[in-house]
Amino acid sequence: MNLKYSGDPAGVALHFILYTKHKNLRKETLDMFDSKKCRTMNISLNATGSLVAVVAVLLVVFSGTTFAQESLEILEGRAMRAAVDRVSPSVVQVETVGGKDRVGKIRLGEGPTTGLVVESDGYILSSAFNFVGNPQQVFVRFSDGARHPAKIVATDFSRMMTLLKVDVDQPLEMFESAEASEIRIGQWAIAVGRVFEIERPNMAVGIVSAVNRIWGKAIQTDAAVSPNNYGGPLIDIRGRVLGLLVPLSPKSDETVAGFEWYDSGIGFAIPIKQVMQVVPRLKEGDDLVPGTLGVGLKGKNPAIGESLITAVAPKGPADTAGIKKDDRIVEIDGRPVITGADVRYGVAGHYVGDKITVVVLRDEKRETFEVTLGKRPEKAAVPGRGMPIQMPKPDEDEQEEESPE
Amino acid sequence: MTSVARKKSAKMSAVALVAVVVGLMLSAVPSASADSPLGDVLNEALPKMVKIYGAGGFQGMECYQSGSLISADGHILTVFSYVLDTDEILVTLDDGRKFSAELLGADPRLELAVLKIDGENLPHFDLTAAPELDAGSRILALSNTYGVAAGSEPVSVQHGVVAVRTTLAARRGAFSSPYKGPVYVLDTTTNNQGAAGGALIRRSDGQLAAMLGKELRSESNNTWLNYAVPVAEMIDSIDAIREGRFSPSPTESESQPVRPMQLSRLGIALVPDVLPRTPPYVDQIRRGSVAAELGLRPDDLIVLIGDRLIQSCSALNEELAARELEDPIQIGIMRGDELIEMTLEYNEP
Repeated sequence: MNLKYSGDPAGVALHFILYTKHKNLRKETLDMFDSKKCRTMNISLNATGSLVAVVAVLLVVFSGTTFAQESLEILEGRAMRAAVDRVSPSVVQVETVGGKDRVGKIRLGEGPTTGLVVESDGYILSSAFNFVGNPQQVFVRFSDGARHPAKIVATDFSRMMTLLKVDVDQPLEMFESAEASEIRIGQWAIAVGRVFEIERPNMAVGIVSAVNRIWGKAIQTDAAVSPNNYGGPLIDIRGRVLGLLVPLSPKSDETVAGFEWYDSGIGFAIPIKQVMQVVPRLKEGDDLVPGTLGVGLKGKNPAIGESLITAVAPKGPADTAGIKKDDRIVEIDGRPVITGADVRYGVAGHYVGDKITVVVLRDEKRETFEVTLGKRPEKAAVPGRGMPIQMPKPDEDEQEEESPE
Repeated sequence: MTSVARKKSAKMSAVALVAVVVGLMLSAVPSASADSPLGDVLNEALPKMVKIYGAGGFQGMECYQSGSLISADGHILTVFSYVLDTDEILVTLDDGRKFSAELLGADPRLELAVLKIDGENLPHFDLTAAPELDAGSRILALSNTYGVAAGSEPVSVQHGVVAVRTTLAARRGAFSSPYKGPVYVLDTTTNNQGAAGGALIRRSDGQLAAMLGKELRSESNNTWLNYAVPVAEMIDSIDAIREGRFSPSPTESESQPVRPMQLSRLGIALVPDVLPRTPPYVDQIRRGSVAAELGLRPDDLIVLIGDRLIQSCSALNEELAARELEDPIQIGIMRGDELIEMTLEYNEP
């Protein structure tokens, strides 16, 4: 029964639910047409109108249940399209000219790729992956096909995003952000790109698989994330932006890391709140590089390793701040720390030059240090300008295996 | 209006409403089947799928693919591939019944083939009822992907949405496929080994909408493309093959220009093409040439020919070679931060 939702009470109600709730959709839909509620409605009506009311209620109940069980999928499809339409004006196509054809083992395509308008005066954010070949020229194309030369402003090598600037005559349309506190595991998530057609975005549907992934830097989704939408937004069923799609890997900081997971059901997006916090910093024109404490921690696996410092890089950030070997990190920026992974969570979101407050236990006494994070030492020239993760071991005689932080 | 008349009209409208409700209830019964729960859709669709076995089975070339029944007497729609290049094509139905199939015909341009098995009253898809899908349409892909359905069991089911409707030939060199027409791109990894020829059906009612294509890698971003060819694109060829009147359309050979355009004729020399993607910077401009008259300069970067983005020297030469020397060309260059567009017209010296 394919009811038009304009003018149809069941349809209007369902459509409303679809746009306002994403959880327990089917249950909520059926609750909406619960016979008890209908009876209450009926009783409250006077006798004269009761025949009409009963008929109306019957109509709602009957069409409602049929509708709820059988047309949900069509309505969901419609809602997803509407969500994509809503964000579409802020989703642009990105083109490049020249550049390398491969990085490491990965053969790079020539695009196009996707970007998201993050400031209406011409700032576009995209995935750093889309520029890993160092192209000579970048263009941004809007849905009307207009092509604008773009400049690369700066790149965030922690969250793997690149800021572009185009000159525009009129303010660009901005998207609406989802509230960070509202993002729930299991809610609809739609990955949006603009690579196949200029007039129309491409979409991939899934759910939010996890939040606070990759050391707190990413939302995880099972929607198909790939070069077909890297740089585009991950949106909710209402068309509000959850995050910016980028390839990421928990094990590597290289710009191409995570590409091997494309279309695998493991995809990542930088939460939009973090995205918008980073934009003003990128606008200054300097690349943002992940910061490091310059310490080695006990145990090779940070998930089970302790936060006991087994090595301090000489003249590194921790050393400069006064942190010593055998100190045990117990708190970073007010959050308690137990494992090596906790330390990484505390540091990973920050950039070189950021200050963090580290509390250590030294001789069973708490001591507080303010550490200005430094750069990870370069291991070697890494293709794609990725930052190596390995730290030199300052103390070669150290028997314990260490994880660098 | 008197109160009696008002009462009467109220009664009348109530009667009318009851009639409407009864009518709706009745009409809802048949329409429920046009919009059925997932389980019902699959129970109806899976028996229409077949597994096809033929040539292959070595050097990574699998000897199986998928197909769908499109008539009660045993016509099967599948992809045209090396698997069918044998005298013994074996077809297995979802209940395990095995048939030897005849290749009725194939359309190499669409990469489709029609097989025939001897059967009657077979469950089948109705090609004339094929729906048009759009981005966001929820779909099910039915195929023997990776040959997982190895025994007498139905094929595998995947779900997803149409990511976008696009045309494979939209961008030159983006896809190296004989078929260049419209496709539904899918957001699910449907196009794996053995899946080609499988069915893309609409999730709400199980209608066949498209056929899963062969494995295809996107040249534009080096990822595998998941796609299906809409029934509307194939139906004429299918009908022609079934009726024995199919003749392959002459292959659309791209007409070669009589005198292809060359940069040197315009007075432009590019930087040496030494990289896989050498950016097409102008190296020199010949004095007195068309390019010189228009003010082109060394270090200009040629980025557009017509509406096509030019991403390398080789792409530029390829694009020009497809154009007639006499035809004016729109070019776009980057000079510093500025995109400048101009029209070049070759003058016979």
